[in-house]
Amino acid sequence: MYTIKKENISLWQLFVLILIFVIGTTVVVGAGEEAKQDFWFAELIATAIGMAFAWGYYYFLRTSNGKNLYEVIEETCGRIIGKVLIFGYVIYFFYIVTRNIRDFGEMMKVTILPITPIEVISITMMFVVVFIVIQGVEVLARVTELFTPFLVFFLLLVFFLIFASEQIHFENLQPFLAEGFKPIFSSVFPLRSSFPYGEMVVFTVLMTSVTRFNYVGKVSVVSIMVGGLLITFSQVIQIATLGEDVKNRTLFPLLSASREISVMGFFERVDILVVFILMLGILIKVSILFYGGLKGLESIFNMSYRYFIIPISMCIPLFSIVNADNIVEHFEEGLLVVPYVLHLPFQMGIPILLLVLVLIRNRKNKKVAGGVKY
Amino acid sequence: MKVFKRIVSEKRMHHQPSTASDLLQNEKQAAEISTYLKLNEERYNKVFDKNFDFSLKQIHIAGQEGLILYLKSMVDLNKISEQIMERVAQTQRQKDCITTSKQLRTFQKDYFASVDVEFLQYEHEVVWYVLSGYTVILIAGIKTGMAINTASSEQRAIEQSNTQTIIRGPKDSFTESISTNISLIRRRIKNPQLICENFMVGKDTKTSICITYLESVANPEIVDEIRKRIKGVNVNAIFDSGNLEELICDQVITPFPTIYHSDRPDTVAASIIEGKIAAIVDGTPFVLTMPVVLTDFFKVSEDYYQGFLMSSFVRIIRYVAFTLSWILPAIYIGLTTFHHELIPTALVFTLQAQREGVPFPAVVEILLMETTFEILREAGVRMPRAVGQAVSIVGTLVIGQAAVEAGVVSNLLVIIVALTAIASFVSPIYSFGNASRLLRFGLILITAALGLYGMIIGIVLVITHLASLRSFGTPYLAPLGPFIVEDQKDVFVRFPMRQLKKRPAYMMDGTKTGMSADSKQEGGNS
Repeated sequence: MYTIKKENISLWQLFVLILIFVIGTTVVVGAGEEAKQDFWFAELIATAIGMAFAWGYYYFLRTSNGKNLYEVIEETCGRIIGKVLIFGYVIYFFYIVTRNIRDFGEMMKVTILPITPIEVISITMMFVVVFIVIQGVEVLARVTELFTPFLVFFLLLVFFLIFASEQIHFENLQPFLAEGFKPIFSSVFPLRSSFPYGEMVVFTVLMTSVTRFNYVGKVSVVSIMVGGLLITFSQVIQIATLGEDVKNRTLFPLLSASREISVMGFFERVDILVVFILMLGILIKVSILFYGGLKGLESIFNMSYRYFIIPISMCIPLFSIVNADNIVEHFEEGLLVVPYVLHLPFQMGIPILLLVLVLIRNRKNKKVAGGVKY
Repeated sequence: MKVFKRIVSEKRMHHQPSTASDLLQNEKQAAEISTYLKLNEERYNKVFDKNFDFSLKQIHIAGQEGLILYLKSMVDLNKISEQIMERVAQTQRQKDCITTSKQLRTFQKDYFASVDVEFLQYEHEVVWYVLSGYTVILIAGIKTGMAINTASSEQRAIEQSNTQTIIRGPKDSFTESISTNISLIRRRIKNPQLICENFMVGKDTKTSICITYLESVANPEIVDEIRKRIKGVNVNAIFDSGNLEELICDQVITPFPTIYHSDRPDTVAASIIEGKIAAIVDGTPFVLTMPVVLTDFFKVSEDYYQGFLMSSFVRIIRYVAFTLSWILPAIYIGLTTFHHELIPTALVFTLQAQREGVPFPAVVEILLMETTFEILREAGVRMPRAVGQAVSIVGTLVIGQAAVEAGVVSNLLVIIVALTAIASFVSPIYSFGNASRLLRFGLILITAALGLYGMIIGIVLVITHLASLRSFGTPYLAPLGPFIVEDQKDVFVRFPMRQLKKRPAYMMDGTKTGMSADSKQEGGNS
């Protein structure tokens, strides 16, 4: 039988992985029409929910004695149902991968490569992802570590340049809570809490590789907090620069906001920086999700995940394009269908169910063991 | 048991291996030295049959018949007459002749105490010592031979380093002689913990390789790994540490060197004190040190001899230069062919005005100039000194200026190529600067196809490759990825000396400082 080689990542690496995973696409992709100019506040609430998510996933792994998601599923649900469930997760992760690749392709098409076919962008992007993932999660973590300073620096630079161009109009943020809390909640749940924070479910595969597992909970929560604050800040800037009306009508608000930059007649058209932020972010995010899905295949077939990389990676650009006919349909799917059909069950339903099963079994074991604590 | 051994050895005498290579290769079934002088004489005459410089003479030594063997070309004849012949003549006065190995040893203490003597048991040893410049004395009736070091010590004097010049700091550099090189290191590190282990590599060359490290500091796992890899080397010849480098490194398919080399004793000594392991190869002034991380290639020993502000500034310049040397041409292509909007408006106009007459797309233009430069560079390295002037005139005047005037390339492009070229020379280690040459061309092509998006893809691929590299188990990107806070004091900037008390943690495999309590106290001198 194939024995899985243990790869280790450090706490700091987990921190940056989660950070990039969270801010990866979210800072740039627009959403939140309901909340209007209070969307940044919705984002804050979503961050709090995200921190709860992170702690929840950590708690789930801790109660099941540091086994990862797939191992827990196999133990609690038996072989057959377990494998079906794992397969569900695998498809789910790969589907999110295709969605992210599509996001990115559309973005490139709109911004810097208007004539290049979207397939070229998807395939080249996937090639890079394969190159990272085939070397293992340790390399993925190291690459993330190196990108993080650049990514955060460029993001802050964009904020600073917008500020320096005197394009920020704080009156765009008023009035605060004009229609009460209702629109805010409707934008927080389920949409904003499931994306990006709920997608953290993929870290139930990764967290167990961390060398000092006891600190994983705290580190993830702090990481989500930092990421959430960055996202919130980004939203504030976007709304203040563009105004709620323009912001909700553009596809990539941060991009539009950064087009307003003009400092000393030299720093102009820096929106390409935003594209690169998005690119590095998506790259890491896709790699993590792709790795999560491949790990699922590994536990189903008991073969090293490296065998599956090439065939699966060939399918993903295809499905990223087949998924939706055009960008509007793509976003529509993402806003109306995916949160209810996929995000809710896979991010909350199944993990909660599994947690209950694990708790019941732990109690049984305790009784059998005569109340011995372990 | 002894009887049995004797039978075996007598038996072998009849079908002895007779050529030198046979004798050298059959080390495992080694034949002992015969006690019959006649037989020995025949055998070694046969081994060194066709060599004009082989000398085998019969002598009288301590009242016995004896043989003296050496290669005239390898030995210092003065040494033979002073150290051997005169003493042999003295032994004639000795009354009782020597007949056993034990007596031979006391005899050696009496007459040859001051010279470098080895006792030989086997025939292949005799051949091997003769080949390496020893003079071997065999005495009738005694199974043990005596080899006296008479190798001629002709070597280059210690000169200034040519490849890594510095302005302030020690000027000496290693030479081709391994013993000189070891002495240069030992003179700098007077510590009993400094270990020099010897290895013999190369079937034909029998090159000696010396591993040098501080036992209290070096990670024993890495030392073991290096020993294992050097023992596993199976080649005919080692002429330079470059041969060894490629044979023992972790990953061959990479433009980046995963072993550091230097011909500066102070650099090597500093590495050893940091806990690295040096490998000195006989016959070359370049000493390897391992493990190495990417950031080591941006450090120069002079960084520690001048003020920390200046060193930090220069070090940042080095990082910038290296980055420029492989991405600048790609940026040029990306901006001029795909993303004009990113260039400030005033510059776009001048750029386009320059490029107006140029008949090629930017890629062809830049590949043309880069290839030309590579040709000039290679010609400059290999050609005889006398024609150097001609090449530099052709290079600068004809190709640079005339190409622009003829309208083949634009002015800005010449600036870009020149800057790229100069930037690639900034790296203190030549082989590391070379890495950027290969990467540059790849990046140019991918950018020509996909614009700046392609450039970012190329950069990500290179960084991923760097992240996957290891040098003797140490991640190549340490201390950046994995990020180690304590080691940041000596990466992009150099902190003041008082703060640089700890040895780098990345080699110590995860443990925080990786130092035992006693080495912590002496750790201040790195």
